[in-house]
Amino acid sequence: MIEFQNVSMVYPSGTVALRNVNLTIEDGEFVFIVGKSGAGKTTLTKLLMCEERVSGGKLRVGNFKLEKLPKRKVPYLRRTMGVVFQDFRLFGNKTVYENVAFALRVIGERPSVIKQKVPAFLNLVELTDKADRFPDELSGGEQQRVAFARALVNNPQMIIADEPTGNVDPEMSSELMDLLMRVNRLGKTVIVVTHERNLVNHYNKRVVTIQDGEVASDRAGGYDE
Amino acid sequence: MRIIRNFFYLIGQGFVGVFRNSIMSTASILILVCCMLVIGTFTLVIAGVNQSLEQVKDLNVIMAYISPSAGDEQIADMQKRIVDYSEGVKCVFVSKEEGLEKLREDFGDDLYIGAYFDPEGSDEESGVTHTIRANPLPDSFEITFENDVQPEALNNFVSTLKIEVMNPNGVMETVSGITDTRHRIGLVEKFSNARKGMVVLAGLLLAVLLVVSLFVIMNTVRLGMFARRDEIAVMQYVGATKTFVVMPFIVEGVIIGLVAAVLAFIVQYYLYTYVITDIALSYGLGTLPPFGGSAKFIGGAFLGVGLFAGVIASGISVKRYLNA
Repeated sequence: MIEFQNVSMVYPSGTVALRNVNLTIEDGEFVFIVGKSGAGKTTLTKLLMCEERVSGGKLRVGNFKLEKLPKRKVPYLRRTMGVVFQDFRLFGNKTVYENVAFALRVIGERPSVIKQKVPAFLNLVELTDKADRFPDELSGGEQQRVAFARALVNNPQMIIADEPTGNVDPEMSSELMDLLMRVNRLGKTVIVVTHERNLVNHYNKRVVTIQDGEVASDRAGGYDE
Repeated sequence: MRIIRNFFYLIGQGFVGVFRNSIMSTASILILVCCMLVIGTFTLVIAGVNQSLEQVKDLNVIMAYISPSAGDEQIADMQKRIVDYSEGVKCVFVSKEEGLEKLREDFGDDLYIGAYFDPEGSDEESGVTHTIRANPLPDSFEITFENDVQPEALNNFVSTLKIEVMNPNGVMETVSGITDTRHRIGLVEKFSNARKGMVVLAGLLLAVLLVVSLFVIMNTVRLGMFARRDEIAVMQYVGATKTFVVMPFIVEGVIIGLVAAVLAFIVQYYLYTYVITDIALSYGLGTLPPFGGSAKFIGGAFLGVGLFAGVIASGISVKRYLNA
């Protein structure tokens, strides 16, 4: 479970990114986080990954109390979540297979497990035949699917996708969203940060709207700007 | 098992980093090699000076020439007083005959001390008149002493030894028992000072060059980290521990340091054996000790400097980058 209790976040420059955010996301939920640019959506995900620290309030992610989580324990928090970015963040000098295997390598997984898991997840994102290709030989949608495979391969409890469809065509956007739905049906918590209203409205899921650093609305269904 | 697996993976990643960043790695290695060569050359030259110093210290000798007025008893008394001066002082009486014999041994046919009686020599060839003269050398003491004895003080003590003799008027008077002394105390001091100066200079150079090496490796590692910033970010997102992120860069620094140490050792051997030794000989500095005698120390020092520079420099770079 994720729980924000009166969470505030002020950057060192003095910019107030979040103000008294109260939000609870249950295990296995699918949530869209929406809002205009600069509203505080990305800050919210950064707090979840412990890339930034809360300035006030309490933040729980599973058993982790993020407001007082020691630095050395941050990697273990991040192993409970898979992250997907708008710009994919793949390694250009590694093949598709190596990019996915890297996430397992980082946590010291056995080579036999890597050999078994990576093909399975490449199959899940339908990229088995492109395992030996490099990212720049793939389309935007295919690159994002590699990023999805890498995010999922560690079997995380939640997926955080920050504008996952920002760099792909509408058709591929739907495919990626379908993939996230499938992952959610497997019991994983999925948090999608986006500002694409059509996409959000297409799926009848919980939508949290962030506006000027505050939760402006939290409801199931559509997204009205 | 996981630790071992990660260890080999991270070592491999360190090598990958060195090759990926090959130009800067090569520059770092070359600069480090130059630094080590300067340090090594100084060390070897200091070892040479030390050897010379030891040889000079073997000459911890004062020759004290005994007054012709001194009789056997007075000579024996002075010898006892010299030996009693301090522990580590030895005093051997050298008669004028022994002194002359020693001189002849040292100089052979080149010896010519005025004219003295040589029963086997012929004066006709040299034109020297047959004159039987007394051996011109005085009796002497050969005083040797250990390094912990202050040579100046001993020399002063010996120079001022007095004896009592009866003058022609039959009156006892006190006169100097020693007419003169010869020693090489100044030479020891000069060598010692030269060595001290070189040690200080080498120390300063070592400090400066270490700092230079640190900066060069820091820069190399930092460039490597900058080039791999996206990779580092993704590593952190997927849950890599700090050790996992940092280790390849530390390994990279260590590899640079070790390669530089090995190269510097090889170059130092040839430089010393075939260049520096010849230069020392041609400038009359004598024969420098062979490289083998200092090889272990030089090798160890190079490895130490290389490892220290590699680990510290990459450690600082990594820490600064990750905290930025």
